[in-house]
Amino acid sequence: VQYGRLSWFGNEGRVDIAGQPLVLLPREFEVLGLLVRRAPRLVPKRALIDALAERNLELSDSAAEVYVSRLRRKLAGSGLAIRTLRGFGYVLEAEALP
Amino acid sequence: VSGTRRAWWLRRDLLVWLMLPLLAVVAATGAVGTYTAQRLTDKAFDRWLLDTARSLAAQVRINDGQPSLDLPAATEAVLGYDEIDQVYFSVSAGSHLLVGQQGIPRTGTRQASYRAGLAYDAYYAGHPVRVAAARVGGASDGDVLVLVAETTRKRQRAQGEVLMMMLPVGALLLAAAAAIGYAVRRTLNPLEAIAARWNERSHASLQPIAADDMPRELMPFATALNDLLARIRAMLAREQQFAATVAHQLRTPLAGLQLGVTRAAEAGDLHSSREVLGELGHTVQRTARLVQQLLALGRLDPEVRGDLAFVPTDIVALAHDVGSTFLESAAAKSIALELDAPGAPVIAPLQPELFSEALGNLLDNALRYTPGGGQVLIGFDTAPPAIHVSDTGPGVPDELRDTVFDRFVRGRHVEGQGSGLGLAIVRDIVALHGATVTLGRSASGGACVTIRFSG
Repeated sequence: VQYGRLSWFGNEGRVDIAGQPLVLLPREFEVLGLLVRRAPRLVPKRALIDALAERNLELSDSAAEVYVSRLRRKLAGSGLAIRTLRGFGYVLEAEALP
Repeated sequence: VSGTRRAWWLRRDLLVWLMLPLLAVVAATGAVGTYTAQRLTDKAFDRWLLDTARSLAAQVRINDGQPSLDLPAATEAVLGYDEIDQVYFSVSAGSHLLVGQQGIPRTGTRQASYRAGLAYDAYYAGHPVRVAAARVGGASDGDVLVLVAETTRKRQRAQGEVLMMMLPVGALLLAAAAAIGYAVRRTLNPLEAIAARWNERSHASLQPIAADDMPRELMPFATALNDLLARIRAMLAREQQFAATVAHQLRTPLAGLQLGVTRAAEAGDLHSSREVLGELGHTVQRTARLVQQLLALGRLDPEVRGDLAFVPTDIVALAHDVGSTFLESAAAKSIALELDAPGAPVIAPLQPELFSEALGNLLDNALRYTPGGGQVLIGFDTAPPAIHVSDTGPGVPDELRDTVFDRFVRGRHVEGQGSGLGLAIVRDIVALHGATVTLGRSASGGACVTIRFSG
């Protein structure tokens, strides 16, 4: 799955940004996968937690926020950003390229 | 008046029921009068005739049982003299004629008996005559019979005069009939005038009709008609309101469908277009449900309203669902649509489709009036359950706060295609839930709409 400069390979557990691999923890990887597949549309927080529970990756409400903020940091400078819509969820957006 | 009667004319009824008794009274008066007058003339004329017969009878002498009559010729001439009528007489003992004309009838019709003798109608010499008969007793071979017959011209003349006396009565009858006819027409004419006035009104006009210049008997009709007109007006208004409501609430789902169709068409692969089509299916279902709920809302019939099922619902989750459908349009305007969820669900009894519509209208309004870069925030109270939608728009002036929920009233700084219906629909739906909706000022000075459930 591809969005902007980001390619997400679900089968291989690998993420590239403009061809450069990005190192992610499993929960970060799954969260990013959901965001990429729905991008540029909203992913409700509830959907994130439910989807990870399906893969036997427990995620508490506050932990979801923690993972999202970590992902956000790792994506910094990649041309992609995770926007929080308070009360609703998260959106992966492509930033205007410099 | 029979209940199963078909259309009839009041005028004819009135005329018939007034004229018939009048006619009967006049006819009876005339008949009784004529009869009485005839009896009186008969009696008077009979007396005179009998007087003649008796004075003739007084001339009869009976000597040793032999009747004789010595009648001077002058007397005979006096007896027979009459200016108008022909007078005949005879005096006979048994079948023997003493003096006078032969063959005057001894019996007749319409016989009247008086102390002085009898009187009856008969024919003599080809003319109808009245005959007076007097008897003188004492003769050996039976009574002496004196008959005086007189043609009936005088009597007929007298009767004619009596009938002439009835003429003024007839004239009175005619005058009375004319008066009745006039009165009936004069009374009923205003009815036609009123009907004509009602008909003159434009067919489209449902305004009440003026009832002040109308006979009191017609007031119930005018009142009933005006009531009916009022009911029709109310019904039409309700129907128009309903149509407007439906049109207003269908705009959003239709726009969503349009967007979804475009997205499905542009989807790169079958999988993602299927996903979009699935969402479209949900939208269609939701829209169909919405139309049904709007139908229920549109009917003021409380029984139908009772059909609406109110279920305890988490308004936070509901607001999340509704809000999600507005995220895209919010993002398009660079407005942050946020939901301030409390930790626990906020439960209120509501009809999910209708309440979603109300909330959707509030969000639509907030997004419409909030400038780019602003914020629309959905907030909650737990006890009593309440939901707020506040924005960073211009807010609503205090003087408009009460009227802004009325139909077709729009705020002052309105651009775009608001219909003035959204808040009115919100008010209706909220009222249906027994909740209240108020418009206040948000922290930023924008509008803040609060829907508060009771208890």
